[in-house]
Amino acid sequence: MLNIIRMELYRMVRMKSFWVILIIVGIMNVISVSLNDAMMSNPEMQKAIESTKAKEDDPLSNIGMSVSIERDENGDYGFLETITSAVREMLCALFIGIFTVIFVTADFNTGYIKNYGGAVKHRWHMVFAKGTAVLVYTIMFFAVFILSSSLGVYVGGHKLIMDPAGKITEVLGVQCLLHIAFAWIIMSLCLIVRNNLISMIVSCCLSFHVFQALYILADKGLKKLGWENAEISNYTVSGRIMKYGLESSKILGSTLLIAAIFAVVSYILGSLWVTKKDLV
Amino acid sequence: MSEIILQTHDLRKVYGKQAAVDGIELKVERGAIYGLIGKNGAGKTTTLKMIGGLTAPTSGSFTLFGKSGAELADVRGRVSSLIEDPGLFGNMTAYENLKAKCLCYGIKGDEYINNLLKLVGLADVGKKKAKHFSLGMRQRLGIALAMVGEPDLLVLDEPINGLDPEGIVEIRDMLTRVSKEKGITILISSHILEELSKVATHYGIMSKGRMVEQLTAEELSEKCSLRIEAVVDRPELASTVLDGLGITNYKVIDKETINIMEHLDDVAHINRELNAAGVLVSKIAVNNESLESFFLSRTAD
Repeated sequence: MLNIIRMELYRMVRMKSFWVILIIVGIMNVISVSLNDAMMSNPEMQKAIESTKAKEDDPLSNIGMSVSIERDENGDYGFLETITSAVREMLCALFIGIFTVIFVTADFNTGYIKNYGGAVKHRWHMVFAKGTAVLVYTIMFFAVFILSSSLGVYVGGHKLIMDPAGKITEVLGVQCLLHIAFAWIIMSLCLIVRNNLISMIVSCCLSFHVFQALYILADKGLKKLGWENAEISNYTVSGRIMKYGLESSKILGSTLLIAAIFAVVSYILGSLWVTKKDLV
Repeated sequence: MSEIILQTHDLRKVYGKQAAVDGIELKVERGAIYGLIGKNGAGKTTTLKMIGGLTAPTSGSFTLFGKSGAELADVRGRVSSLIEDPGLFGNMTAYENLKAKCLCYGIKGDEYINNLLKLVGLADVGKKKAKHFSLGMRQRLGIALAMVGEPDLLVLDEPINGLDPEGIVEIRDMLTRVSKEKGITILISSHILEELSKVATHYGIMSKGRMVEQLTAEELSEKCSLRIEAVVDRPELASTVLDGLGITNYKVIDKETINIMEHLDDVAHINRELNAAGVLVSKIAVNNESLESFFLSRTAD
């Protein structure tokens, strides 16, 4: 199995999209964080932020993506606030999802899987290897994202105020795990539908909170059935990505549990599907 | 008798209501180059996919290197395949495509990859991406990929498709060489019997998902060679006459047919001698069945 992991990592770093996404995200992040100041002082932008805040009670107002970083009273940026404001808006999930779709479907679309798929002792090894590669990518993506966000603050001429190390580990660790679970969900979807268009649409819809409307409908149905506080998005990986920030220690356990359940279930479903179905 | 490394038992594959492979029995001996012949849609590729581990049979089973059922997983690594089009990463070079598979098989070293590239005539492609390869180059790289790990059984589906005449000869020579030198057993499919006949040691003719006939290269050559075909009323007496004429290379096919594989220019003389001995000859002529017509007669609807 280690050999298959080596192969997946090799082909991952040889993919153009691997570097393109990391470079684009890195550069755009530096620019957008450094320009955050200018954007925040723009009256049009302020109006938009105020309007979004006013609609916070309306769950459908979350559809789409809007990132703004709040500064402290001295105008400096808190480290976690800078990172998580975009992470919680699913910006990282969007790019990780896109890469996962491209990466996982590549050897099915090119037919390369025919070269080794039949010789693999257990097909779940292939799924595990893909999952490992996607995990490595997620960690690398977070590293690039953190570095570029921090650089953006300095480029914008501000100071970055570090949070306590424990808090940083907790928040970024949990967000990283949630994103790995998210990537594994997308990976399983790709393995099951074997269609990059559908997988890409679902991945983007999840990142842009489009399924929020479905969750609300489901919540309404559940409320009618007697579950008064029904809130499906509270039990989803994307819901937890949006929710988990600096003040979320209370939901640490349940968040880790949700990430673990989704990751394991996705992995098992993907493995079962690949084991039972023809490879070509 | 050589060791049987692959044997199928009533192997079937059904897609929807259509049986792509309908209960075939196949036996492949170690070291053989087994040619699977059939028209398009005969079930060759599906058979190879099942043997190559890419598709599961709907029913039936097969034994590979003496293992079957769940134990097949232990010998899967000894089989390598090139099914349909070569599966290549277009944005990678030939070297990189091979390197990826070598990593998967735990094979290290640039020399190994370079030797494979040399073997299939792609040593000079350099940094050219696979997406810019011609069909023939893609096919060669596909064969090189199938050779990674030096499998004991190489499963090749129409490997000469898209190759130019020179390429066909090279691949043919290469297959014969690796089979002889490395003892690799090759299961190769084609719908061009003429080409297959230049490399195969055994044949399996498929039609409509079924195995119509299995025969060795000698048997095929016998069936397709130039010969005098005589239809007589008393074959035993005819044999005695032929012996008397010093003809030894002949075969009594059934109770009225004799095939004579020598003295092809002496038809009139043989006919006269048979008549003189009291053998009634109702037909005598030089015949040969071309590979093409032999194949067509076996796969006719």
